[in-house]
Amino acid sequence: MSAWREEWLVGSRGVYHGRIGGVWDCVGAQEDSVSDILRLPDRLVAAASGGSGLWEWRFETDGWVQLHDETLTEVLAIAAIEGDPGIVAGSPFGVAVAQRDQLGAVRWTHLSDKLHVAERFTNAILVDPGNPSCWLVGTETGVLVAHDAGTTWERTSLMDTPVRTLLHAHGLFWAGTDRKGVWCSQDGLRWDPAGHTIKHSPVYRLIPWEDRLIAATGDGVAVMDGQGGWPLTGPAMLCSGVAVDPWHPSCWVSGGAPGGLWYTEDAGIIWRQIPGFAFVWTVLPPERRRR
Amino acid sequence: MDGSSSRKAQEVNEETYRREVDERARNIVEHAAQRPAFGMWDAHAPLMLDLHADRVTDAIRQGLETRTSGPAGRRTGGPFHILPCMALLARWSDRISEEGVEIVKDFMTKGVIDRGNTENHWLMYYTGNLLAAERWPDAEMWNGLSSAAMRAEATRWILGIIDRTARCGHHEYDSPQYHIEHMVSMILLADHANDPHTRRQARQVLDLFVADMALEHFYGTWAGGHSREGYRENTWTRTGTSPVLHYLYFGGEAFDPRYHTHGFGLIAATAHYRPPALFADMAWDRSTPYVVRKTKAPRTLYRCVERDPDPVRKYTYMSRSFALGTTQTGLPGQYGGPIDLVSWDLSWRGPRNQAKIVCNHPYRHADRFSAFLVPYPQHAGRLIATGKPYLQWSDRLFGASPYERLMQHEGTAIAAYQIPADDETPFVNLFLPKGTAYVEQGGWLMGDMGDFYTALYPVGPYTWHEIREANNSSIMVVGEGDQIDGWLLRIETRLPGLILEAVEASDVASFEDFRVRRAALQPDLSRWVEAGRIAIETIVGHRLEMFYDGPHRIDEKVIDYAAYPLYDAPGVEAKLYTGKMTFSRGDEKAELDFRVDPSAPLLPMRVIG
Repeated sequence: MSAWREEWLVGSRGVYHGRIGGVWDCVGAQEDSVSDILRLPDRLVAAASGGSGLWEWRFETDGWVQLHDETLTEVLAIAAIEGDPGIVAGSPFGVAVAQRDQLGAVRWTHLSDKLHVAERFTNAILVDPGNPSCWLVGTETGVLVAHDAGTTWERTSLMDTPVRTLLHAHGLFWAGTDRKGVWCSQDGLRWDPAGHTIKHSPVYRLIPWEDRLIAATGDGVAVMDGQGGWPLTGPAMLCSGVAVDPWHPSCWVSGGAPGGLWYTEDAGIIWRQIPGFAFVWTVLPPERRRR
Repeated sequence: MDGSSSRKAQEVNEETYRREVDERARNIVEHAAQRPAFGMWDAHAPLMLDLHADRVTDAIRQGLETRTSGPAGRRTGGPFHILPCMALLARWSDRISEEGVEIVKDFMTKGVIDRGNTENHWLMYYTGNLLAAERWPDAEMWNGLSSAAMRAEATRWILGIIDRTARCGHHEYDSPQYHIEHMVSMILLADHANDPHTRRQARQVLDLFVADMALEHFYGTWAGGHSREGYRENTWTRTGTSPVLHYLYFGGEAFDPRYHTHGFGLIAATAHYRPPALFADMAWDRSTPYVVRKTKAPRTLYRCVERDPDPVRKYTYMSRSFALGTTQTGLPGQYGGPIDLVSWDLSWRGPRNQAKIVCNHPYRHADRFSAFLVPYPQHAGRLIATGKPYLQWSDRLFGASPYERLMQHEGTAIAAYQIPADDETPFVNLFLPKGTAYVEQGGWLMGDMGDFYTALYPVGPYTWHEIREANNSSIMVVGEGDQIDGWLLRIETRLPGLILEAVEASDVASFEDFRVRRAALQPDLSRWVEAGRIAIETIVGHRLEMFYDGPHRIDEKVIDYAAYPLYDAPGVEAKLYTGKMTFSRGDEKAELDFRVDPSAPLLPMRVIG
């Protein structure tokens, strides 16, 4: 289990762990299309599309256990919240939270059924670090805010574009969109444009890097550079995941869907492919330094 | 006839019918048992005949041999593994070897199992898991849940989906490809589930599924619109796997192994379940033309659309020699286009590719797939079509278009399209069989099909092509296309359409009479471009008027599609949302009551179909 904390985690056809130059192993035997991964203190949680739902692997056990029920499927985004199972899940059918029933099974309640059809389609969920019951939700139509743990919903000024990723970094909220580049916000409600790539690429993932952001885009990886059109680096692919090694900030791993797994050790000058992957949807960096 | 003698007659009919079904089942089983090898689906045949029991274990071992990668690979499979392996254990528990049982138990308790993403996938998945959880009540299931939790989840979904079907119509409706998966799953539940309520509900929905087939049964096959009739088969007379069910339950034709032996049908053939006899009588009654109206559940679309889809409304005219069916698909504007949906066709008796007329706008925008599948829209068009390239072919004859509008009155239909300027395929493909010699007069193409006559009026300029496609698309087609073979009329305009009228030969003096009368009545297209209006008078004097995004009128009266009941046909009463249906024929009656709670929320539909 400790290896998973010290190694990269990759959401591909299954969850993989490994390190650059080393062996990459599948966590368990599940080979679902993994769209999002949470690494929590006591467990891994993996969101899977293709009808496969949501799964967790508690570190003291030895297998994936189903967290979805008959109403939760095609999970695209997850975030940790209080409670058990302690997950808010987003799917094409909306945002849902869960509790366990008397049999120990997880039962989900969807909170966004009354929204417009495409507003329900959830690509990203971000729990407001200053208010855990306030969630920013990236949907097919823009950013919505779910107040009071999804009791009420509020549309924001960032609408009319699919929002694929959300981030809180450098004291701001950030959103990556399909057609409008990257936007930022102080409060999650009023958004301002924050630039785009030279190709106006869709943005699938944003991560902090030094005092800037790195974007996984439809045309490769970009480093956000002021307000202008950012240059692209690496293979020109639909890059849906990217992560930075916290102990080696010039070492990045990116994933293409399709395009496979790539890494750079010089902040994007040279990229090398890691064999064995075709589709990679998400990448998490090592959580602690390798002993 | 008094009530008691009526009941007695019905009992005799039921007994006779059951015997006939059993005879047909035996034809199916005996033919299947002759195969040199069999898998888990068709192992029911030798088991039924008490043959080759030793080879059944091999079939299970081979059927569940796929393992996940790595040295500690686990058995893996999906709905098409779960259902047949549990079907064998449920139906033939005393004949499966200990080793065979252990392999299935290993798969269901330690395997890696995929749920799939369509309604038939989930039904097979939950049926198999329910039966497994009941069989091994103390086991931990493959997904780490207790068998009690697995049983509860499966039961909720199965009963929920039955409830939905009874209240607002079947989701993966009337599919010649996939109806059989629904049937055999429910058969296993009706015959083998432990819970009496589940057995009862499954049995009732089975009767409803058979009624669905019977109402649009046309000489051994299924007429009208279909949720899923893909795979480039919708120019065939007998498509998909459903002909084995039509034969088994409705008979009326000689056993033909080409159509009546699909392995999935063996679960039905060897089952205890048999439907009420009156459905077979309904299915074969061609004495009087009649209209079938059905309401079906809305399609599942979750982005790239303007609103949630409306319910599906079907209209099928079952005449003596032909069947004409159209669909109000309820699709919500641009990008909504389920891949396998066949919205309309004209069917009659004849060989493959010689007895269907259908047209289609081969809509292929990338966002079409994104509307109901999760891959990124930027890649979905290529990704989905990589495995099924024909889904994006410009000659495609099936698959819904958001730009299609249909209306129908008996044997007359209008199909109209308003294709936006940026659409990749600004035309409609009209398929015509080659076996008919057409007559062109005044813009009408008229055909003498023998027992009936057709007239087609393409709206817009068209070009006459041939379409020949092989099943294996990588080879050159020499001679007849074994997949599609016929004429392809490409109606090339942004505002194409088709007007069609079919008339029984016995209802007019002659083909010449039909031709002259039809040609004398030109369609009114004067406001088609300007106002989206098409009007036509049938040869017996009914007037159809269609506004593209407006009312559809028959003899000046607006068609109220929202008023369609769940089912409407002679002898059928079935209001929406009541869960009650009555099917009557003479003295016979089949009454279904699903005991629904109309105020209870519907199970959310989280799959496509």
